[in-house]
Amino acid sequence: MKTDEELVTAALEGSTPAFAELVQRYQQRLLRFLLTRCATRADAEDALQDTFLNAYRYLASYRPQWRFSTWLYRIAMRNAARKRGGETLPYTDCPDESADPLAACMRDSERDNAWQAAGRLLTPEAQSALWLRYVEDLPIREVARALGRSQAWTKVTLMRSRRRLQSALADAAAPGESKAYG
Amino acid sequence: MDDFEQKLKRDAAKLPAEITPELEARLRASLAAQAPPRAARKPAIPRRGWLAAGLTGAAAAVLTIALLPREPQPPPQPVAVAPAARTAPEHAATLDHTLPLPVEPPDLTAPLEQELANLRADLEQARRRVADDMAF
Repeated sequence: MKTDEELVTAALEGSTPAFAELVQRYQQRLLRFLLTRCATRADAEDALQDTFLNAYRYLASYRPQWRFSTWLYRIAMRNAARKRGGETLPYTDCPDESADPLAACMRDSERDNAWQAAGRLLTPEAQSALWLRYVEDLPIREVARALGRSQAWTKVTLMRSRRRLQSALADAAAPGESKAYG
Repeated sequence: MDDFEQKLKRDAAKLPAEITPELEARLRASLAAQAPPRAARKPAIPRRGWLAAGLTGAAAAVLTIALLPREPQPPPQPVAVAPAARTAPEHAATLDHTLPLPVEPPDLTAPLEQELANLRADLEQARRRVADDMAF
């Protein structure tokens, strides 16, 4: 199986199937991520399409010292932010749950989804940091690169976001009783 | 990986992110309409070329300097040295005085007015001596 970087090289040499393979690899992962960052599923799908288009158009600017996924997520974050109009949610703001696209398409049994809570409690940037670190398993260095932040900032943000989310989930699981994950 | 990290991963997998055939077709169509990416343009002259060009230029410059016919240099002309300025007493000593006047360097410790008065007095004294000599 070819690595992402090998596929990028092949795509740059004119292989369309190589880029199609990259799309296959990342489309679901990216859509999942974009669903947590966009207001509606339609916006997430638009952002997904824009992400692949931008990646294809500017493939020559990709530098292999970073992972391809880091580069791709960076583009996806920009597109998601554009869809949201640069809107960022303050930490304390809890928007109406009925307007949440995730809540709308999730079953009742999945309402305690941590990412749904993250969307309400965390800034998009903090949410992205958590996603890249714990879902994509990217090292801190790559997460920082994707966010365009320092490694120190990324570490602190991850720690705070994690603590905040854990606390909120514990409260939701057992009101009045604190349960800590990990 | 702790419980919380596992929950984050599990919950991410639960998100309804199936790629519908319509979405897949849309992605494929949009990419097909896009011009294929091009590899980054390489510079017209690669780095090694710049180095070779630089070295060739430097060698040519050295050769030109070494092989250029040199015009014979004219013999060095003696430089006319201006006579060194002499102080008034030295200059006076060289003169063939009919009247050997004692010339002393001015003592420039007093204020200028005092120096001027002294000079005038010396001059007057010299004038009298000359007048006496002439009368004699």
